[in-house]
Amino acid sequence: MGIRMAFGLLTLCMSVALYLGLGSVADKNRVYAMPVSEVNHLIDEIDLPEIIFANHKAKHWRENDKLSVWALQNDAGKETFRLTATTAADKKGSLVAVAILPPDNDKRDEVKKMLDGNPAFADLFGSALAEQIDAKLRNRPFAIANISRAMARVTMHAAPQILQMRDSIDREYAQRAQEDRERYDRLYKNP
Amino acid sequence: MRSLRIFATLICGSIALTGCKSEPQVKEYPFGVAEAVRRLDNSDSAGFRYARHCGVLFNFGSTKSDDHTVTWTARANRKDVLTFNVVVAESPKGVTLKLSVPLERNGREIYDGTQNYNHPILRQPIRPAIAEFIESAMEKRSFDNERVEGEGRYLDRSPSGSACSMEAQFLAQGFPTDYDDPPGISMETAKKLAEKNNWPKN
Repeated sequence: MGIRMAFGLLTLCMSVALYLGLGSVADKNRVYAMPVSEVNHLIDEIDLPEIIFANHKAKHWRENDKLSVWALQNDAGKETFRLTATTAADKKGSLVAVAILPPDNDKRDEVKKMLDGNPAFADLFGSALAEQIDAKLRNRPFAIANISRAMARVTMHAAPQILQMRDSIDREYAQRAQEDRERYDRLYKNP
Repeated sequence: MRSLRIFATLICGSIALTGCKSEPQVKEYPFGVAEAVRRLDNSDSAGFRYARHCGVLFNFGSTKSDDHTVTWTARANRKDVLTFNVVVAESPKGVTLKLSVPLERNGREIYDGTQNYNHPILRQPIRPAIAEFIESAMEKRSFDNERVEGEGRYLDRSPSGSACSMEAQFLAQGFPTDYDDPPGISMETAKKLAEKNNWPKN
């Protein structure tokens, strides 16, 4: 077995294991033994985790004493997704729930359809936000391990597209290699 | 006392065994000499040349030197510029092969990865590529550069590696290098490249 195949098999096994629940997952509804006002204050101080949101610009605001909002934007500044953290008083402290929503613009229906069709992406974004909030409220670093299952799900769901893309690249490469070879052989026929 | 002797014998035996080295295994192919020679003589010379070429156009092919030997020769400007051969020998389970690559004046094999040529015809080192070339012939398949072992699969790190790479790029644009030209790019090729690529004429 070649190294490539062994590595591929290992990655697949890890992905399947994580997908089936053997990895960690960030719970998107959590209770913290703190007053709501303190939780809100800390939530408003977080930055979205770069490992997931590095390619997104984000605008943040607090809507009210229950709702904090991050609007992800494309390069043109148009909102693409909306992340929210809702805070509510609970018997044991404060309940924090995160959600991924479509934007509040003309792309709303289109994005909603995309999110409904790709729950793994919405789950990853939500898990990443929940993990960042949890890390802030517990005063610890962001842990990739806690979103590993969500990341694996995205990888698994994207696998068909990745395979399709690879096939297309392989075909293009083979075509180019064939043309190079023909050009080289022609040099011998017409030096 | 007896156990001490046994212990000492075991220790000495172990030390002696660690010094042993087994001879490298010579691969055997399960067919006769005539078949092996036929396979070698039908090798994918064009595929080998294409996968390993630099910027010189050269003819490359094999001949049966005798009943046991196949010799490959590369010719550029109507003269032999590279040659190597394989001798087929009978063995208990079929045949074994012995590759011979000639030496340069410095005592090392031609194109061994350390040689410097004005206009190399093939990427160095050549021996691992020839090994795959022979293997492909014995398996009756095309030469596959991906199966060439070691660092020499893609990059030529020899003193003439950069010349090989540069001249291969000129060839890709349709401008072969003359094997007998002085080192470096010829004025004629430089002009053609400039014309084709619209380089500034100042």
